[in-house]
Amino acid sequence: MIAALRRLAAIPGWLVGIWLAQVALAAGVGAIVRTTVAAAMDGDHIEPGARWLYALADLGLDHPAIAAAAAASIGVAAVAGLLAWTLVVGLLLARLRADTSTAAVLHTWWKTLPGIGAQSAWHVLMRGVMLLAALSTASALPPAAGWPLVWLVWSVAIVGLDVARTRVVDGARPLHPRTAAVAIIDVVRHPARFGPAVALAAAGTIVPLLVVWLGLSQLGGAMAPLAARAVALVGVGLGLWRLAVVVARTEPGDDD
Amino acid sequence: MLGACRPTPEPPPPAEPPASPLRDVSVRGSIPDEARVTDWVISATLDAEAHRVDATARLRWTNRGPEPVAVLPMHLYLNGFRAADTAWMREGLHAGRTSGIDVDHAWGWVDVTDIVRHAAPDDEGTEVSWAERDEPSLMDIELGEAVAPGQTVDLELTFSTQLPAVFARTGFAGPFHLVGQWLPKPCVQYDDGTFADDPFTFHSEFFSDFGHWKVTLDVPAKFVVGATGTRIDGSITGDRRVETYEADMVHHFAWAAGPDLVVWDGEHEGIRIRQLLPPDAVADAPLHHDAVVAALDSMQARFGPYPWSTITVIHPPPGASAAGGMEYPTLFTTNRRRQLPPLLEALGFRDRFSGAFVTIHEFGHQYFQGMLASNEFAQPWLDEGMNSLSNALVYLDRYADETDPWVVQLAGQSFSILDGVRVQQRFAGDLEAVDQSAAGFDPTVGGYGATVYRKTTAIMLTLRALAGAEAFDAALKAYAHKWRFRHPTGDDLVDALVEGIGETIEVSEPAPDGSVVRLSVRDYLRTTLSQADELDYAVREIGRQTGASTAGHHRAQDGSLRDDGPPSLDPTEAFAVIVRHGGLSVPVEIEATFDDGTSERVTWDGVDRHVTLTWPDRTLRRVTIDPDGRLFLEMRRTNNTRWAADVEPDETVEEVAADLAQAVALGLLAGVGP
Repeated sequence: MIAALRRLAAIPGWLVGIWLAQVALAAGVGAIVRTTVAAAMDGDHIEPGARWLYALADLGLDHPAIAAAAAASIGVAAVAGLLAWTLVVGLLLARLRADTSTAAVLHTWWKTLPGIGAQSAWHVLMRGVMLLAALSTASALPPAAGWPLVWLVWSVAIVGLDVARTRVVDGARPLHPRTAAVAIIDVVRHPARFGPAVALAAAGTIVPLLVVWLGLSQLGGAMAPLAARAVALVGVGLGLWRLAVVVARTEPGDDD
Repeated sequence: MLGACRPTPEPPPPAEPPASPLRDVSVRGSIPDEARVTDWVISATLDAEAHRVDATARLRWTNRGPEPVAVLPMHLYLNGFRAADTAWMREGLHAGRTSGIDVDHAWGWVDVTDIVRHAAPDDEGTEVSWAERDEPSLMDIELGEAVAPGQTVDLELTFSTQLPAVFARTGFAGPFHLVGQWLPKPCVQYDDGTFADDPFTFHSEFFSDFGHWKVTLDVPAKFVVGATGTRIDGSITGDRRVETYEADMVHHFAWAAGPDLVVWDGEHEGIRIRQLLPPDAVADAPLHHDAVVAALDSMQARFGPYPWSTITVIHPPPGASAAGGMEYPTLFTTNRRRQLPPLLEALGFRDRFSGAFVTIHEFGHQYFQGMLASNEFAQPWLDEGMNSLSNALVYLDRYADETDPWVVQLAGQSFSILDGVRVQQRFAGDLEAVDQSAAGFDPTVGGYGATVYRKTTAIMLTLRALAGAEAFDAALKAYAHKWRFRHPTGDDLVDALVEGIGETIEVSEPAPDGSVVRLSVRDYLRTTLSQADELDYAVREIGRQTGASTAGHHRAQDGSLRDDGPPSLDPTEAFAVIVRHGGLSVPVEIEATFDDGTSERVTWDGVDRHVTLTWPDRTLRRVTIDPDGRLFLEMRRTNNTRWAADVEPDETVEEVAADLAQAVALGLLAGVGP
C-alpha cells in the first residue's frame, strides 16, 4: 500500500490533472444550468429564504425544460468523463508500471488502447451480470447483510476492471473476454493480494455520494462548490491509489 | 426489492375489544336522536373460493322527511363495477383506471334476490317488488303501503355480492378480501322529502344515513377479520369462523378478511387502534399507530371528540394495493411506507409522508364524511378538500415546535407540508371549479384531485392566513360542532365561516389616509370555490422614473407667470408595476426594499389587472409580492420577486441550481473516473 502510494506521489500531476478535468467538466454543467435558469426566469427571482428544495421544485415545475437541460448536460458530462478516463487510463497504467521514457509510455498506451477499450466493454457486461446476481442474492437476505454484499461485489468488480486493464498493458490477450473474467476471478480468489485495492474501491464508492450530499446540504451556501470539489479531489486520490495498488500487486511474478 | 435496514418489532399482546362501539357519553357528547335513520342486522357468509358474499340484511328505515314514502331508492354501489357501461366504469375507463384489472375477474356486482317487508319482528312478512334502474348502481323498492313521516319500515333483503379482483377499493387479491361497497343502502332523504339518488360515479364514494349495525360474518377459520365497529362475539366451528360486530352512528359497514394477517393492537385515550398487516409490513405498524394518534389528537382538539371506541387500519397485502387508501366508518385502508434504497438514505433522505400521510388522510375522513356526512357526489370538496386541509393542520399540530414542519428532508434541506400545498397549486388549475359534483369533473382532464383536494386546501389556508388562525380555527370548530352527525352542504360551511370570522376582514394596516383594504369572506369563498380560475400575481417591472414636479411656469396670484425652474429630467421616484394574471383576485401584500436597507409594505386589493406603486425620492432594491407566503392559492410564485437591474442579489436560484448541477455532475464524474 505504502509502496503504491510512493508510486503515486511520483506523479502528482496526474492527480491534479484528472481532478481539474472533473472540476472543469462539472463547472461547464453548472454554467449551462445557470444560463438556462437565468433565461427562463427572465428577470424574476425566487425568494425562498432557506427553503431551497421548495424553490428548486417551484422552478422545475414552472420550467420543466430546466430539469431536462440539467439532466442532459450532466449526462453528457458523465459520458465524456467516462470516455476520457477510458482513453487515458492506459497511459497512467503504463506510467505506473515502469518509469520509462515518455515515448515508451506513449507507445505502450497507443498499442494497448483498443485492448483497454475492449476490456472496458466486456467489463460493463460482466459488472451488470454480477450486480444483478448480487441484488438477487441480497434480496433474500436481511437488508443489513444484503446491501454490504452488493457494495462488496461492486467494489470487487471495480478492482477486476483495474486488473484486466493492467494485464492488457502487461501483454494479456487484449480483446478476449477471458481476460476480463479471469481478472475478476483472481480478485475473488486472492483476497490477500487484492483486498487493499477492494477496500480502496469500497471507500471510493462513497465519494460520489458524499459529493452530492455536500452539494445538497450546502445549497445556497458560499462553500457549496468548494466543499464538493475538495471531496472530489480525495476521490481522485483514492482511485489513483487503488490503481497503483493493483499495478503493484500484478507485477509479473508477484503471486501469493 | 431491497429496503433499508428496519427491525421488525414484536406485535403487542392482543387486546380485548371495547364492549361498546361508542365511547362513553361523557367523553363523546350526546348524539341527536333524529340523526338515527337506519338500524341493520346483517348475516353474511364469505365464500373465499368464489369471492362471493351471501347475505341477509334486516333493515329498519325511518322516514325523517315531511311526506309519506312509498318508493325507497337504494344504492347498489358495487354494481358500478358490473359492466363497462355503468356510470362508474365509463368514467373510470376514461380516466385510465385500468391498471391491475384482472380481465377474468373484472366485474363485481350485488344481486338482490329477495325483499320482504315485515310488520312485526317475527312475522313472515310480505314480498315487495323492486327494480334496478337503467344505471344499475340504484334501485327502487316499492314499499306497498307508504311509510308515514316519523314512522319506520322493516325490510329483509337477501342478496349476493360478487367481488371483483381488486383494482379500485373493493375486491379480492388471492385470499385477501376487502369488502367495501358491498351491500344495498337506502339513499339519503333531504329535509324536503326528496332523495339523494345519485349514481355511483368514479369520483363519488358515499352519502348515507347514520344508524346502528349488528353484523355477523362467517369466514374461513384461518382468516383474520377487521371490520367497522367492535367485535362483540366470536367463535370457530370446524373450518369456519363466525364473528359478530356492532357499530353505532355510522353510515356504512365495511370489512376485510384474509389469512396471514398480523394483528397489532394499540390504544389511545381509550380508543382501540387495531391494525391488520401482512407480515412483511409489521415493521411499519408503529409508524401508522403514531400517525393515527397524531390525527386523533389534532382533530379532536379542532373538531370535537372522536365518538367511536375503535379505529381499524387495514394494510392490504401484496397484490391488493388497489384496496389501499380508502375510508370507511371506523375502518380504513392505508398504503405502505415506501422502501427507500440505502442510496437515498445515505443522502440524508427522510420523510414524514410515506405511509403516514395516507393514514392521516383516511383517518381524517372519520370526521369529514364519517361525522360531517356531506354528499360526496354533489360536493366532493366538502369531505376530500376539507379533510386535506385538516391533514395539513395535523402536521402543524404534531410538529408544533417547528414553524413550518418539514415532510421531506434531503441532506438537511427541508420541504414542508405548506411548501407542498403551494407547489401543487399549479396543477389545481383553471379548468374546473372546486364546487361542483363529482360527476362534473372530466376524468380525461384528470384535474379532480388537484382541484378538489389541493385547491380547496389552499383556499382555506389562504383564508386562515388572512383572517388569522385563531378566528378561522374557531369558525371551523363551530361548523364541526353544529353539523356533527348531520349532512352539511357547502353553503352551511360558508355560512359557518362567515359567522365565525365575520362578513369582512381587514387585511391591511390603516393607510396614512385611514383607508383599509378589506376582504369579503363570503365573496372570497364564493368566487374561489365556484370559478374555474387561478390566482397569480407578478412583478412586471421595477425601476425609477421622473416623478411629479412643480417645475415650469405657473400663474402667480398677481396674474403674472412665475418661473418655477427648469425641468428635472433625472428620475426621482421608484416605481413597481404589479400585475394580476389570474382571474381570481385577493388582497395582496407587497414588500418594497430600498437601497438604504429599509423596507415598506403596502396592500393592494388586487381588483384591477395591474397597479403601479410609486415611492418618491426612493430607490428600490427589490419588490416581493406576498412576502409572508400567505396566499397559498397563488398558482405561480416564481414571478413574485424582482430586483433592481443594477443590484446583484446575494443568492439566486440560478446560482443554487448551478451549484447543485455541478455537485451532481462532479459526483457522477467521481463515479466513472478513477
